[in-house]
Amino acid sequence: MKCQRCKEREANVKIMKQTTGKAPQMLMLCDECARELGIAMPGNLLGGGLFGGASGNPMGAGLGRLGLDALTNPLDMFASAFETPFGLGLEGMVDEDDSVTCPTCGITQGQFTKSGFLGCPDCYKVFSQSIDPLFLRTQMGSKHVGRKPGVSDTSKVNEDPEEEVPVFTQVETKADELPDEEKAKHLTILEKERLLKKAVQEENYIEAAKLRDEIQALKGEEDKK
Amino acid sequence: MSWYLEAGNDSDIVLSSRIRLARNLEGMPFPNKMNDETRKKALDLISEKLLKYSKNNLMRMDIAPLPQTDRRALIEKHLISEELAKGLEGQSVFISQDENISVMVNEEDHIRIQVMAPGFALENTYKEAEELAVYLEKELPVAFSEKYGFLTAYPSNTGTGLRASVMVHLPVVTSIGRMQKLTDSLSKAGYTVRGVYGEKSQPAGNIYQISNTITLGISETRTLQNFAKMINEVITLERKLRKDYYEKSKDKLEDKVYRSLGELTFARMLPAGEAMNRLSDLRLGVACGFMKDVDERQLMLLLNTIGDATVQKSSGEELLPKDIDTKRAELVREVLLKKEEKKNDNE
Repeated sequence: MKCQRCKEREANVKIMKQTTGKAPQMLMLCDECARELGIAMPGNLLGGGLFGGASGNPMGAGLGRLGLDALTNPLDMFASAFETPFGLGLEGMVDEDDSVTCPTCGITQGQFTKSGFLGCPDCYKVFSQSIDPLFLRTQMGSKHVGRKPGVSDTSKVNEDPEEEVPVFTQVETKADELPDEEKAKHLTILEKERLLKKAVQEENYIEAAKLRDEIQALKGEEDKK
Repeated sequence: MSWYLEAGNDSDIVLSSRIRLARNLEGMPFPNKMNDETRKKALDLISEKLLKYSKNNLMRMDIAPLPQTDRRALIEKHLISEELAKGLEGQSVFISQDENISVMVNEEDHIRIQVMAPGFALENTYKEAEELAVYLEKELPVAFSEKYGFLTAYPSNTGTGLRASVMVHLPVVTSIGRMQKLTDSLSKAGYTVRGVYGEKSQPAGNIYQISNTITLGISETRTLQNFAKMINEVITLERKLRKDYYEKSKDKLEDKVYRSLGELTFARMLPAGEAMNRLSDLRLGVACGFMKDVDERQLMLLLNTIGDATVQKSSGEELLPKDIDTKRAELVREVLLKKEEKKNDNE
């Protein structure tokens, strides 16, 4: 079956909405559209569309026909793209959400969710609660492992072994920086993140949701310290 | 000489490689939250350092005063993006002499370093981009967090801020209907594919841009290694399919390629999409080894000079759409027939 959004690519991601007393609604998307909508897995749909506007992303072109609302509001995009009341129960919440506001540039949580862009470097701290899960879904975790400013790193291009390093081994370098008692928990989180990724790939969403909650719980404990 | 006219590795499939690094200044809003005044302030800071970069002589070009045709021509040469072509106050591009380096200022991010190279050449291209990035990081207060890496306006670029991409010519993967499948599996692995020319629904010229999408939780080195490995698989696939196709349908393929040569050398009006598709045939013929009337260099030259705006610009006057097609046909003949004359001279 073709993706219901781009109507070009083969659909791989199935999204179900179940409401008591109503027939379940189903939406079929291709991987690319699902990624663009930020809905690689169910659960946190509020963050949808965050990655859409990046340059070089084909989303811009695809959005043209959906009108201006769609461009700014990922949830509207659902509605207009599929012409179904697929509002996921979050309509109206996004716009007015000013629960978090960046003191430096004034961007609100709602604006961030709507547009997908941040206003200034400080926003990363301010919105870290909504950014972290987003990174977990769309990136390889939420921790930078690349080079630091002003330091060249190209010598490593030749030194790095050619074969694929499993995600889990890569991680140990990160854990090394932590005190011993933290190490165990850190590794648990990373292992769970790895399993989560696998579950999402296998479209095992029940398992994925469970893992996500466990990770969030573990991370919550870490933050409190 | 323009960078794209040099011979590159795996150029039977990979037309060019590009590295892009995104950086932002600390203590300033990202461009989407800037006004004319703050954009100008950021530009002044960045411009001063870029113009002092000793390794390459970068030329500054402010977008606002540029006529629309010139902006389109810069887009066709991949030197600026649509976003920068808006030409707001404080939006500028810095371009090296052979146009392989361009630095966009106040695009989505304050600084977008871009380095291009012919063929499959990610490593050296990256080194060149990194060198400029390191220089700027030393000279300017760059927004960086220990946790998230280099901070960008869109979280999708945060971390390394590194986007590697290659332009690949995949005529046979496309013609046998496998492009969709390839796009899907690349997408699953964290890469995006898009047609470079033509419309989104109908890409022209069988030329695609493949880029990485993951920038956080992975090092620059690993990004490049994984990317290169994946591109090598794509190259192997297209080469194998070409070989099979040529062996099985030699007459059919040769007929198609020579017809395209005929069309390109005789047509008096050439719409862009059609020109791209016929050039794609020639490119395949050259790669398969039987088409000797043209070479890769001529094809690269054409690919980079027959876009609407570039044709318009080279004609030096305002052209109607149909006149652009006429002018394009003229340019194509000029380039393709030049070789013929040269050959005759030699004989």
